[in-house]
Amino acid sequence: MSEPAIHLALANQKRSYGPGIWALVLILLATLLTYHGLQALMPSTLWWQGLWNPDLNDARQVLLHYSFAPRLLVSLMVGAALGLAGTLFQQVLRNPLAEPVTLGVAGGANLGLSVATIWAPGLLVHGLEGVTLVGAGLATLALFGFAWSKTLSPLRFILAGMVISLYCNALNSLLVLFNHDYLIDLLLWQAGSLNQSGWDGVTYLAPRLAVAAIIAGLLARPLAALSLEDQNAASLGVSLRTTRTLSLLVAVALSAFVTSAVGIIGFVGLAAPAIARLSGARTLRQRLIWAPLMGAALLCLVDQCARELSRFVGEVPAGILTAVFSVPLLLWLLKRQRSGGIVSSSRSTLRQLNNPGRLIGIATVLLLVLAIPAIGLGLGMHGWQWSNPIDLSGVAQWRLPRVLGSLCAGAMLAVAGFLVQRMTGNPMASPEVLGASSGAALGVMILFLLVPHPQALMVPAASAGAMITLGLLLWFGWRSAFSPERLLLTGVCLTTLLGALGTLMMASGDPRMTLLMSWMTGSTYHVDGPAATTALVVAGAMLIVSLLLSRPLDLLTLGNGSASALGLPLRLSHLAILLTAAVLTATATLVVGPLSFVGLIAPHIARRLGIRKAAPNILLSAIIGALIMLLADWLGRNIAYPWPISAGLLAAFIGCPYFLWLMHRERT
Amino acid sequence: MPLTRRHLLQQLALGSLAMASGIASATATAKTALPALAASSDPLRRIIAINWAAAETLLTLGVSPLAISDGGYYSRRMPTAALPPQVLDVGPYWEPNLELIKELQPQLILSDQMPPSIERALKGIAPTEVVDIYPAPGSVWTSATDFMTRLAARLELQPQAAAWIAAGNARFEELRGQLAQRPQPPVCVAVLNQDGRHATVYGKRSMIQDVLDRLGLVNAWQGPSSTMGIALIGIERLAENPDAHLLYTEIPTTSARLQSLRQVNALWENLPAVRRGNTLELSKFFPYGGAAATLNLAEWIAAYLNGRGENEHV
Repeated sequence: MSEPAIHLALANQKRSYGPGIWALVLILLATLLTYHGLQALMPSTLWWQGLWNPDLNDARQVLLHYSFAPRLLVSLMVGAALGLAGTLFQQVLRNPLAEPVTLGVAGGANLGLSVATIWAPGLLVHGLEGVTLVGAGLATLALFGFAWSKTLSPLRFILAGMVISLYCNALNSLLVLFNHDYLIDLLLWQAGSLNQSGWDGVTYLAPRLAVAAIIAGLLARPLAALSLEDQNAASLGVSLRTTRTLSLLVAVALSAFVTSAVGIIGFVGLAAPAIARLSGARTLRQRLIWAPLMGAALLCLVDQCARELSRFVGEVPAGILTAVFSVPLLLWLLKRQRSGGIVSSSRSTLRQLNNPGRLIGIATVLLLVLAIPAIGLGLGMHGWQWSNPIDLSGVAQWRLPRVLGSLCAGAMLAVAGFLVQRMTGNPMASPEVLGASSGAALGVMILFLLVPHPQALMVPAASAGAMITLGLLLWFGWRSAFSPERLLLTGVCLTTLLGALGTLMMASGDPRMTLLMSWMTGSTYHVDGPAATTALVVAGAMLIVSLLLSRPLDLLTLGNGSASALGLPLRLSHLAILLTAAVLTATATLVVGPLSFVGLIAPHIARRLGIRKAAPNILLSAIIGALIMLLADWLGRNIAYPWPISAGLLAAFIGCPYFLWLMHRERT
Repeated sequence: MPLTRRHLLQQLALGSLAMASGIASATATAKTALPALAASSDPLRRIIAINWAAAETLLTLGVSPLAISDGGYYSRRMPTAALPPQVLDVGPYWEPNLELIKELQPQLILSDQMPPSIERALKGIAPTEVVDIYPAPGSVWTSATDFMTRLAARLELQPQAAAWIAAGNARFEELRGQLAQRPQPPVCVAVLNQDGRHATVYGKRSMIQDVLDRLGLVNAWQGPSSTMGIALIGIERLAENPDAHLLYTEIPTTSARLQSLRQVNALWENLPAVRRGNTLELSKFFPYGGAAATLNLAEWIAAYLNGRGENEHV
């Protein structure tokens, strides 16, 4: 055998053993932990009896039979199901960020559960499955309804999915806030716990997973053709639409089954296919086999860790640990990946406005005019009342800072959203993607965990959290030369990690967490004079900075290569844009909590109104963001008087449907 | 309604004093009878209680608050004196409506821990006291009764508060004495989740731990708990101490859900406490109540254990 041939053979060998070794490591660790758990439960002589024919007077055997064993099996099945669902989603949508959670399917299922719990607990007598399936089904229908177009564009799908996910989560948070006696339960469900109290979960999941796996196997060949360009695949005689639709249906059904059985387990659907792919499974057939295996091993390992941990620190839902374990792994794998077009912006042909100045002028006047009744008009004990909007001894002392704070926060988030979207060339990006808002929220949560009376330290803690996250992001970004794709993925990873830890703390049952919850959904209640003034100063300054960045922002739309050829210092401009967006996000987060709705939606509305150039786009985004938040804050104070509804939630109610409608209209 | 001795004692402990006091003085149980608390002519009666333990303490002292936070939920969770219908709702405790509070022109606000800006705003409306019963540095009963004493001083109801607290202390001693007559099992108090797989249990610094300590009982939950004295666990961990007796509650509106789960919930059915029938369902239970709620929990636990003790003798 010649030397090159040996090299080739070695390379092939390395390639084909890659996923096997990874899976083996995961499985070995999971087995060790499982064995340790069993050993701690009872001596091995009783295992067989406990498993098949337990003596019900022996508490240990009851635990093995009704809790330990079904939980182990469920973790394996859920992991496999999520790995399979993720692979299918990613293959069909050609986006490694696609998974049940980012597509809104899991969010819909979760919302179904909340609605049933609060208004129709009778429905739950038949089990959680029915209502979660209906919720997931409706979310999927909405996804198809809004994103369906002639070509079933993958990007549209993800975008619509993320917006639907936001909408479902907003609705869910609202339900939780108004029914906070259910808070812990609903949050725990959202956190994804694999605890079992019998064999129901196993007997529910097993047949469904088997059917889905068989269909996926049958779809493997036509699906592989999807990797080719649409036209090539069509010329091979593959029915694109049928294959895609069927695969999506299987993936959606799998996500719904998982959510109805154990709640929302994020990240396995993202991590398992990524690990499989990056550790060497190249072809679709390989990935369809290895991703579910990786998923099963990963989730089993994580859940065994969760079980061990829960002996020391109280219940730890597996969904949260999944994120904690997967993120460093994924970041490490990401580092090794050759850069390639993970996401690319589809430059759709939108109408372009010739005179954006007039539009901006009208919007500004509208904002100023609406601000007056927003302060002056409100419900009181005896119905609607008009109060002097500038008399600071009356209600204006509370309303003025709130209105000012919401305006500025909306504007800041919108500009930050625009910057991130332009820089990454990704319309799905939002300030939330930067992780800065999650970081701020986490800082506050850790403070609540450590200090009995934390209220006075909230602002410093939030700043510290945002700055640490930002520092990490900058570090990762610097290492990858601020490649937009990596930055986006890194940001998503950090956000997932922080969000997961946050949910764990919220689910801990501490009554003070309700306060955090209201802040996290974007309440403007706590905005006082100094906070509003700070917001105003920062918003003004950063708006100017953003406008100064408009030339690099315009050049970046040509693509990194062209921008660089035109003399743009890429790394420097990326750093400047990132820093600006981060400061905007952190300030806005401190004022109104880590809501991302406005940051995602306002720049899109501006773009879809026909603005292309960066400078007018920044201005119009800011005004639209401010308008949305102004309206949301006013509605929030009056809709359920004397109860408040967080402005962030209402912004989602106003913004999401409008955004989806715009998207829907644009396809025709 | 038949007036048994136990029922009467319960009524007393629950703080429905105005109703029961006339009869109580006529019975043989005069030593546990608590003094009647008629509202005095003192003008300091326009009080807004954002904190529930404070609202309960007010009601225990016979003063109806002007408004409280989240009134509907208060009625569903608080086991002690019922909320009079005229009490207004000022919104949730985490965001009480400042505009409405100002309109109501209170003389005193009893607030939860609030962020500094909100505390300033409340203090701008009326004198505001931040209720700091939880997290209790030592004993919940001590911090709750200290709060009652302080509040009574402001409302000029010191004699009533002192008498109530003295009676409460005596009652604790009495219950402890009764329970000490025979060996008692460890007790676990839990709030069950509607998923049928999780429960909240209570450890150090919680009201439950303090009540168990005062009654000379052992808390079956010896695991870790948070700053607020709570821990969220999977229900399989309720099996760790097979001898424990389980006193549980569920959020009232979710009972249908729980009932249905129990029928198929093999693990719950086979928990040692459930298999042996060592359980009691508490109708209403709120772990962050005031002195009356603390005493009330003690009454329930003692009544349950004493009842079991009598049955075992038969």
